[in-house]
Amino acid sequence: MCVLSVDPNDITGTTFLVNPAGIVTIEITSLTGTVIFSPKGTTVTDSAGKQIAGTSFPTPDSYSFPTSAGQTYTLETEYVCLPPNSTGTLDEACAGGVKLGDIFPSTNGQVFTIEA
Amino acid sequence: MNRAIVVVYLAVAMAAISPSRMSGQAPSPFHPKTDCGQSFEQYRAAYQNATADYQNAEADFQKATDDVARQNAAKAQQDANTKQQSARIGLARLFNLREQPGCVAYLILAAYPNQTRAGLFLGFVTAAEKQVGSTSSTSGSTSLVSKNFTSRLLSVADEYGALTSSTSGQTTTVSGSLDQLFTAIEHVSSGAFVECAVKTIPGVWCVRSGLMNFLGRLSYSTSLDLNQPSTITGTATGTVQGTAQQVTGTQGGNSFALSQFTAKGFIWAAKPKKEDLLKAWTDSADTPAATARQKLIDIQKAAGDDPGGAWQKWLANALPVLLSSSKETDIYAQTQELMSTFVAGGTSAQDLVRAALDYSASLASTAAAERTAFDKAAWSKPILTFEYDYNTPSNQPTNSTFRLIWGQSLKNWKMTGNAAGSIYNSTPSSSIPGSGRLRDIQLGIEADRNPYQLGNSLTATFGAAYYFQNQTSPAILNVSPSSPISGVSFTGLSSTATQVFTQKGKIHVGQLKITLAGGSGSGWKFPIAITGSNRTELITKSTIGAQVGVSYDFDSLFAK
Repeated sequence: MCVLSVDPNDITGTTFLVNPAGIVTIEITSLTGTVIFSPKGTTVTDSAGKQIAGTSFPTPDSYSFPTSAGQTYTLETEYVCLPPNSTGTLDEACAGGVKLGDIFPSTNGQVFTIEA
Repeated sequence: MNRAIVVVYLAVAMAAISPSRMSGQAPSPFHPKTDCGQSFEQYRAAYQNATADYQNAEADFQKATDDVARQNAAKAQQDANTKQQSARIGLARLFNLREQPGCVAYLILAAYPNQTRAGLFLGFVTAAEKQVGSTSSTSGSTSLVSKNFTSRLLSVADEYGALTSSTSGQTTTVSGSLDQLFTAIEHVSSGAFVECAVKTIPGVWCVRSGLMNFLGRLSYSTSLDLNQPSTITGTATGTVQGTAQQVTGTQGGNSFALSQFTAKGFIWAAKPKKEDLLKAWTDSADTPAATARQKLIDIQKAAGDDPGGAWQKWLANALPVLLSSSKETDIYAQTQELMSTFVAGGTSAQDLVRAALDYSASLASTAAAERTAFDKAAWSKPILTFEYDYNTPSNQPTNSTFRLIWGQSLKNWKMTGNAAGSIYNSTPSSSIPGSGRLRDIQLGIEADRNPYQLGNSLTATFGAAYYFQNQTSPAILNVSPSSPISGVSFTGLSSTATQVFTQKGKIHVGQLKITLAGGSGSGWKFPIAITGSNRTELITKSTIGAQVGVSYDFDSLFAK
């Protein structure tokens, strides 16, 4: 089930709402080559800046993290493009899931706000 | 060497950052061939198409005469609106340092060409000072220059990782893949010479990734014998002093000679799994891109990227223009306004350019590391390789070997198969009976089992190999009374003989090997092998022997 949607009030398109709160799984769809998460640089922190527990990488190109209602999180991603000209998109891992962003070889990483 | 490297860097910089190439002549603020440029055009086109759809649906709604038509038109309006929103968000992300730092870094560097040129120059000098190793005259230098190999270019390439050199006895082997020269330069170029995919400095040279992928499949290896005999010619320069006379000596001969050249090309390799790629990346060194990216994000934060902040106001005002305007000047004005917003946030233009250049340099390092990790993962899978060897063995006619190599892992076993043909590079003397250009045909197979764990600190590896060689032409040795072959003595050989040859025939060689090794990090190995053959190239009698060795990796002492 898809739980993420773009916050319509955020013109930057980098804030996503979670409904219902719970486990969120995002995945990389490689368009050319292979893009995977860099485990060291992919984290979720709470509003106090502390890394949350319970995150996991089910596969090298997917990432899961828990959310609680009323909490705001910062999702920071870091990507590895193998070979370096690989591209992809970051999406919620579900049928018709929202697209979080494009991944280019020059992207390296991204920062999102997740509101549950 | 410092000066040479700086000169090379400057040549690259001055040629690359020319003012004419810095001007934004394209309607897109990004280079049209980059991902940023292509996405910019795609999102603009999607937005404009959606806007046209919306207007058509609106007209349909006005013309609708029944509820069904009105509902269809309303649905079409809603769909068009969703597409507009999606395109707007997609385009907005291209100008957001939290989302696409590479795209915005390009805009920053394009906006300040003079500062970019100056920043790049300073970066080169700093990098050159940091990177240059010890000179050939320094005690403990690892440069090839100190080993008679007088090519300065090759020594620099060696120092920067463009090739690998090793020395065993009096033989130096230089090897590498053809893309390593590019990745080595990329690694130290501060972003001025990169794969096109990660180019963020406008106008600089770049190498297409497809070419890099191709060159990465080709490797070479050259062995040089550094112990070549040289001759000293003495010329009498003085008058005879009794029974003695002064001479002036001059040295002749080469200080080194090619002993083997090998070229190898991957014909086919299985696609690595994502897990293999992740492991290869995890094993590689860290790269500094995250730190450089955070600096850029901090600049945007300082410019007010929270709701109601100056940067968000700029985005809100700029988006309609960036999405719809066909005038280059309008779009250029918005990127200039973005720079003004950054500067108004407290970051000077110089610091803005420095941060963008740092990010460009970190991307170049990251790309070089990614390519290394990719090659490591890609070429560790089942592969089919073609190899060409040019051999110049001492005291033998030169020959060439063409070899196909197959490698594959089967559960706990690693299998390797070889098929090869060897030819003499020139037709052997007709006085040697049975000789021909085809020297021999070779087949080989080897199976190595992954290590067995025997207790906590002992592993055992088993291996078996079989080799077959059909010596279709006699092996030939060049002989000369003045230059005897080391380790070989002849009896009853005619003083006029210049070549000797052996019998043709089939050679079968088998080997069983077990290697005992200590646990992780212990560094010691104890290989034991039994090898038997029906004959060798020179000896026509069967042989069997055992080989026992011991090795210790002293690096393991310092790895703890």
